[in-house]
Amino acid sequence: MIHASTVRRVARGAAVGIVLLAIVDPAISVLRYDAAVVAVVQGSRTADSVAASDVRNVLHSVVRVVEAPFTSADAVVYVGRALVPQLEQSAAPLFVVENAPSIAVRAIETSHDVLTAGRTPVEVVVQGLPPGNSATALLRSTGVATDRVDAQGTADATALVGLGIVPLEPGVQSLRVEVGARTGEPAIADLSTLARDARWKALVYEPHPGWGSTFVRRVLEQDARLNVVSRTVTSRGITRDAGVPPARLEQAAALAPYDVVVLSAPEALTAAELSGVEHFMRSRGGSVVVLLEQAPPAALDRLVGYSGAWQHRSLATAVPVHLRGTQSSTVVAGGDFVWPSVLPPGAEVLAAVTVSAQKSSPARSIPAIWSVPVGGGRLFVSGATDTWKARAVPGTRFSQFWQGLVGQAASSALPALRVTVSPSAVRPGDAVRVRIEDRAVILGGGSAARSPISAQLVTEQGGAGAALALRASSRRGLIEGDFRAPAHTGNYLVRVTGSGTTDSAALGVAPTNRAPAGDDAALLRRLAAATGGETLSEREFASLPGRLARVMQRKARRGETHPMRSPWWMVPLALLLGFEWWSRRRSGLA
Amino acid sequence: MASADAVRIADRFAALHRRAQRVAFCEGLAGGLFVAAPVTFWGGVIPAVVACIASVVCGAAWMRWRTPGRGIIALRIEQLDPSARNVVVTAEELLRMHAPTPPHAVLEQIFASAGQRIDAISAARVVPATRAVTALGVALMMLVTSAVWRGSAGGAGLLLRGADAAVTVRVSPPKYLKRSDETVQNPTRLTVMRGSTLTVLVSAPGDSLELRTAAAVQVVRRGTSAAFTAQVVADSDGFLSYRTLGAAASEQSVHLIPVAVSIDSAPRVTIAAPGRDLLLPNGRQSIGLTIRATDDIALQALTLRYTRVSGSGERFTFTEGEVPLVLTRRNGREWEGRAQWDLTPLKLDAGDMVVYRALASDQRPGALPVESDALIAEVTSPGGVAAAGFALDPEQERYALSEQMVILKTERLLAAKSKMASDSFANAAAEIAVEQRRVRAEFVFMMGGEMEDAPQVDDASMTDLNEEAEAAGEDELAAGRMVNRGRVALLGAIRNMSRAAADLTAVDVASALTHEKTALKQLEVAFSHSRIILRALADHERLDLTRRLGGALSDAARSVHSVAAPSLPGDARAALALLRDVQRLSVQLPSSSTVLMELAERALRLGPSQPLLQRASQQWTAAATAIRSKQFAAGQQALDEGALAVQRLIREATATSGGGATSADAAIAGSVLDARVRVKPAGRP
Repeated sequence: MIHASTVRRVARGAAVGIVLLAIVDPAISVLRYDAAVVAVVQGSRTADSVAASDVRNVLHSVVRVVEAPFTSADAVVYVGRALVPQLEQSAAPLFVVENAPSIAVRAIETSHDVLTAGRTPVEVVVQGLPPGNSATALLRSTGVATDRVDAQGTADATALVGLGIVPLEPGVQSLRVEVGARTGEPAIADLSTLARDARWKALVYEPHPGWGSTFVRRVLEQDARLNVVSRTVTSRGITRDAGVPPARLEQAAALAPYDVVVLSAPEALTAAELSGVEHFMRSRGGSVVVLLEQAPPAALDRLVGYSGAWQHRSLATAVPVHLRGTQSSTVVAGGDFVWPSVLPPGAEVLAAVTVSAQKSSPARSIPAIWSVPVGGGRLFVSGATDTWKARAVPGTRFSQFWQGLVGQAASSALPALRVTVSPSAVRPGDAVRVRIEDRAVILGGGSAARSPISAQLVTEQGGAGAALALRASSRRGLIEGDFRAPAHTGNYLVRVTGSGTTDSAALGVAPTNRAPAGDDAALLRRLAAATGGETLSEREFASLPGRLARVMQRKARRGETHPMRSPWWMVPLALLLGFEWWSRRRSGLA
Repeated sequence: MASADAVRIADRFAALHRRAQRVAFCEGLAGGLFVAAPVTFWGGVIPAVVACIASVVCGAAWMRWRTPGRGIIALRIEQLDPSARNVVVTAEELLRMHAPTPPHAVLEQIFASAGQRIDAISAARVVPATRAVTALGVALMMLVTSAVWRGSAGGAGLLLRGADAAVTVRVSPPKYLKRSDETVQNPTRLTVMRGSTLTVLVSAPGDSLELRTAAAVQVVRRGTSAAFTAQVVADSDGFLSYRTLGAAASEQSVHLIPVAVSIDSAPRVTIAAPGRDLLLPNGRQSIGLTIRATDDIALQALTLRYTRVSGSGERFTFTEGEVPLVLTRRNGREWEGRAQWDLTPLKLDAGDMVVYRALASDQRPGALPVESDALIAEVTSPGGVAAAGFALDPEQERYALSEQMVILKTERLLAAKSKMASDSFANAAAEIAVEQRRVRAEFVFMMGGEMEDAPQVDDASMTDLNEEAEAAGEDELAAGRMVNRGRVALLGAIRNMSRAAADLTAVDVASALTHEKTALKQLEVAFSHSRIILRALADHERLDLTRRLGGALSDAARSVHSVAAPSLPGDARAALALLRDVQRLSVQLPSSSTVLMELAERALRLGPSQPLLQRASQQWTAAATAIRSKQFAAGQQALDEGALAVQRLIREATATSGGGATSADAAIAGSVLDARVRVKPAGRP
C-alpha cells in the first residue's frame, strides 16, 4: 500500500522537477522532416482557377501550398491545358490536373501594315472545335465590336477564322478575340497592333495602252491605300504620266521608293527594263504584278525561272475568278486565260478557275493568278486577260478584286526596317521579345554594311523612352532584344531607328491581357511523365496527396528543440501542485 | 317599459356613437392618405391605387379600434357639464347594463335629468370632428397635388399613362389613296406612305417639345391641350426624335422613332398576247390582244394605243388611235384587258405597219401613264425593210446577225420542214426574211445607200453602162470607182440578198438558200484582203483638211496629269466617326443612355434608307433602353450589334488586302528557292 505522504512527495517532487527543468530549459537535438511544399499553378481560364481552388483545398491539410510558381517546391501541381512559361522554373515532379477540354485561341496575328484607309485581315487559330460544332468569334478593337464570324469545327478540331479590322484612327489598336460556344466561358486572346495613316506606293507602267491595264489602273487610283504613279507609253517617245514616275525602269534606285510595280504587256519591255524590274524584286524586296494579255516573252520566263510552254484558252462564256484570302464575294469574271504548262517551283496559286471538258482535254483547274518568289521580292502574274470586259456584270466586284490583289502584293514588299514585338499584348512585368529585320542586310547577302540600329520603348503619346538592349541574331539581318513589360498599364511603342529610317511596333500592357494559349494537353502529359509526375483528371484530384507523397523527396534535417518552452507544462504543474495540496488538506495538514 | 326619456337618451347616445365612428374613420383615412400622397408621386398608378385602398382599410381599422364607447361619451358629457353630477353616466349605465333598477319614479327622474343635460350640449362639443375633417381635407389635397405633379396639369387621366412620356402618332395618308387615318400609340417604328402627314402628340412634363427630323427641327410650346402637338410630312426615310425641355422635363426623355417611307410604285403593264411582233400577209387580219396590268395600290386606267405607219423613205405618215378594251378587274390592283382587234378599218397596205402599246396609270396625282413594250404588226412586202426606231429588237441582235447565220437558219428550217405545220413554216420563213433584209440593210448603209441603177452583176462586164446613170455618175466613173471589183461584188451580194428575202417571203425556201449562198460568196470576194471598198462621202462627212496634219510634230510630247490622293468615301468616314464615339462610350457604359440615343439619331441621319444604319440605330436605341433599366449586359450586347452593323457598312466601302506581310524568314526562304530554280528552271527536262 502506498502511503499518502509518499504520493504527496512524488507529486511535489514532480512539480519541482518541472520547475527546475523549465529554469534549465534543456535543448535536444532531433531529426526533423520539413513539411512538403507544393506549388499550385493554374492556367488562364476561369475553369482552371476553379479547379485549382479545389486542389488547394485538398492539399492544404497535408502539405504547404504555395499559390505561385516556386523554384524550391517539392512538387508542382498544374491545373490547365495550356503550357505556361512558369512551368519552366522548377524541376520538381509535375502533376497535371487535366480539366475538360474547351475552345482555346491558339494564335492571333495580323499584318505589320495596318493602314487606316483599308481593311486588314486578322487571322485566328481556334483549337478544341470538333467537327459538327460551331463557335462565334468576335473581334473587338479598343472595346468596339469590329467583326464577327462563325467558326466551324474541322476534323482535327482546329479552325482558321478570318476576321478583319478597319482602324478607327491611327495609333495603337488593342484587339481582343472572344471565341465562344453556345454556352460556357469564351476563349479570349489579346493582340496589339499599330495602325498607320500611310499609303503604299504603287507604280503602274504600261509599255503600250491596253484595255485591261487601263481599267486596272483606274481602280487602283481610287484605292485610298495607294499612292499611284503611272506612265503609259502611247507612242514612240510619247507618254502619258500621272504623278512623277521614274524616267526609266532600268534605274533601280528610281524604283526603290515603290512597294509594288504593276506592269502590262511585258513583251514590250526591253531587256534592260526587265533587268531593272528584277533588281527591284531581288535587291529591294519589292513586289511586281504582271498583267498578261498573251504568252509572255522569254525574258519573263527567265525572271520566273521557267522555260516551258505557255497555254492559252478562250472560253465561250466567262467564269468566275475568286481571289484567295479575300471575301468570298470578291470575284471577277473572265473567259480568256494564259498560264504556264508547269508552275515554277515555289509558285503559289492565288486564283484558279475550273474549265469544263473539251473534246481534246478533260475538265481541269487553271491557275489564273499565281505568284512566285524572286529573290526577296515576289512576282505576281495574272493570266486572266479579259476580266475588264465583264467588270459591270452583276455579282462581280472588279474594283475590290484588283485592289485586293495589288494590296496583297504591296503588303508583301519588304520594308527597309521592320520591328515586331512578341507577344504584343502582355501583363505588367511579362517577358517581351523584340525582333528587328534589316532589309539591306537580308537582301544584301550579308555584304551590306550594317548601320547602327537603336530601339526605344516609349509611351504612345511620345516622349523620352527607355533604350532597349539589342543583340545580333544568328540569322542574317535579324536583331533581337528582350525586356520586361512596364509596370504601368497603357499602350507603348517600340521605336527602332536605323538604315536611315524608323519603324515602330505596338505593345499593350494591361493586367487583363491574355495571351493566346492553345491546348497542350499532350505536351503536358509528356512533361509530367518526364519529371516523374503524373497526369490526373478533374475527378481524380482527391487522390493527389497520396500520389504526391509517393514521389516527393522529403528532406530531413537535424535541429534543436526546447521541450520545456511549451506552455502546456503549466497543466501538469498545476495538476500536481493541486493534487498535493488536496492530499495535505485531506490529511488535515493544510 | 322604457319611458320616452329613456328612449330619447338611447337614441341620442346612438347618434353620438355613430358620429364618433365617423370621426374615427376620418382620422384613420387621413393618416392613410398622408402616406398615399408620396406613394402616388413616386410610384405611379398602381401604387397610388393600392395606397388609397390601404387608406380606406386603415380608416376602418382606426374606426373600429378608436371609436369611444357610450360610457366614454357619457363621461365626456359629464366633463362638459360638471353640474350633471353623474346623472348622465348613471342613465347610460342603467340603459346599458340592465342592472337592478331603482323604483320607477327614481328612474324617470334620472332619465329626465339626464335628458335635459344631454339636450343642452351639442354633438359637436361631445364628439368634435374639426380636427379629423381638417386632417382629411389636407390629406386629400396632398394626394391630388401629387397626382397632378406626377402627370401634367389637367386631370387624373394623366395618372394612367405611367412614368415615361407617352406619344401618339396619327398617320394621315395622302388623300388620293383614300385611306383612313391610323393612330399608333408609342410606336417603336413607323412605316408610312410617301406624302403622309404625321401628327405627333407627346404627353410629357416640360415647357416645350423639341421635335427633330432629318430635315428640320421644331420647337413646340404646350397649347391648350395637355399634350404637345406637332406635324411632319414624311417625304423620305428618316426619323422622329423628340425630347421635352424645361425645368420639369425628364433628364432622359430623348426618344427616337425611325420612319420608313414606302413609295407608291408605278404600275406594270405587259401585252401578254400576242406577245411578239407579227408579220401579216395583208391588212385584213384580226389580232387577239390580252393585256395585263398590276399596281401596288390601285389602278386607275388601262388603254391600248396604236400608231399606224405608212409610206417609205422620207414620206412616212403616222396616224394615232386607240383600241377599245374589255376590262376585267380582278381587284383594284390587277386588271386584264382583252380585245379582238380588226385591222381592216386601218386599210393597211403592203409595207405598212401598226405599232401598238398598252398604257396603265394609277392614282398618283400628276404621274404619267406607264407604257408597255411596243409591238409591231407589219404587212410584209417583198424587199421591204423592217422599220427601225419603233422599239425593235435590241442593238445587240443586229450585230449578232450575218449572212452565214441567215444561211444556217435557212438550212435548219429546211431540215425541219417535214415536222412543221405549213403556217408555222411560213412564219419562220418570214422571220428569216426579216433578218435577211436587216443584213442587207447593213451593207446598203455601208455603201451609202444602194445604187439602184448599178449594173447587174450576173451578166455584167466592166464595160456595161447604164447611160443615164453614167451621166449622173460621170465623175465617179472618171475616178474609177465604178470599176472597183470589190464594190461590184458587194452590189451583187446585195442583189442576191434581196432575191433571197423575196423567196423567203414567198415561202420558196430552197431557192432562197441558193441566193443566200451566192450572196455569201460574193461577200467573201468583196471583203478579201486585196479588195478596197470605196464609197462616196456625203457632203457633211467630208474631211476638214484644215484640221488635219496641221500640228507640229515637236508638240507631240508626253502629257502629265496630277493624281488626286483618294480617300475613303464620305459615308465610310462618317461611319468611322460614329464608331469613334461608340468607342468612347464603351468605357462609360452605365451613364451613356442619352449619348446612345444621339448616336442612334446620327446613324439614321447618315443613311435613313440604308438597312445597316437602320439596324445600328435600332440596336443603339435598344441599348439605351436596357441601360436605363440597369440591364448593362443586354445593353452591351445591343451596342455591339449596332457597331457590327456599321462595320459591315464600312467594309463594303474599303479595300481589303489579302495575305500578310512578308517576313524576313519568308524573304530568305524565297531567295533560297529562287537560287535553286536558277540552277534548274522548271519546264526544262
